[in-house]
Amino acid sequence: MKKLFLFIPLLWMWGCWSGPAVNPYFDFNQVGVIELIPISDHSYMPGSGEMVQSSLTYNFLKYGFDVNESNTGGTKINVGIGWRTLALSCVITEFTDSEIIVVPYRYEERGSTKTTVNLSSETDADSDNAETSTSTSTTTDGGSLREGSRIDYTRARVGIILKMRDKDSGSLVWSNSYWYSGLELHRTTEVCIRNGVNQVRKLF
Amino acid sequence: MKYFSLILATTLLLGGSGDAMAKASAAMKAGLFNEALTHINEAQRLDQANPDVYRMKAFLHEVLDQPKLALAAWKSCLDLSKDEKLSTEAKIHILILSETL
Repeated sequence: MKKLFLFIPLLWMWGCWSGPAVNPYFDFNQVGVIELIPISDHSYMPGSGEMVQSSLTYNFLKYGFDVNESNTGGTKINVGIGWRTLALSCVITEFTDSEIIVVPYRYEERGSTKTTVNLSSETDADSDNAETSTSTSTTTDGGSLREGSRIDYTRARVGIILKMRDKDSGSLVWSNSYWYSGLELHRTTEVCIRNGVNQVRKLF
Repeated sequence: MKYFSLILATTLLLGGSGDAMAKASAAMKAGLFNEALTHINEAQRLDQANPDVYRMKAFLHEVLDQPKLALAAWKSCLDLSKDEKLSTEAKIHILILSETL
């Protein structure tokens, strides 16, 4: 019975979390440097490559790694004292701030109150008197419960694939994909990249 | 004889959830996230089983830097969702928000 209780949360986590692919024969303790390969823009968003690259270096720095950006544009991240160098590449699979989300909903029309005031004035030619009358009518709509209405809003969505390969042998040693969604592109990018870097840093 | 009529019509809308959702959508589009959240809370009261409303609410809490409330909204969204994509999205947000708290 205890095993069953352990198994259920593990199954749930497995369902939502597909972990990284790791080369089991590679020793990450032998790595000294990660070279960041320049990131290409997403086809629909010029400048996205630079945004993601800046976010990557920012997050590595924030996690305490020594980040070196040379004048020629190459970026190196010192992760240890080993002699091996890994090349980190990032492919932007999704980068949008205008994905439309439609929300169907049901709602209660609580009704309304309509008041009509009729004001009439009548003047008799043979008389000096003028008569004024006022009538008021009020109608109340009791309301109803409606379904099938919808509204929409836009959200941002960012997806990346991170890959690391051994620079000497060329063999792929680690890979994983991430995506995140939110209302602001900048924040969404930030969380998505931070999640990726958080996984990478656990290797060293 | 001279007649004239003056008609005054007053419609008193008390603000159903449909109205609240429309207002929330408009506020979100304008970047008024606090206002949108107020309207979403109102709408949620009348449509408590709608996972999409919880997703909207969770997004708003995240953008307003309220991770605990966002996490609670995503969990409600996951509980109510029957859509696989929405459930996956909720799980990703729950995982990441749980790590940051």
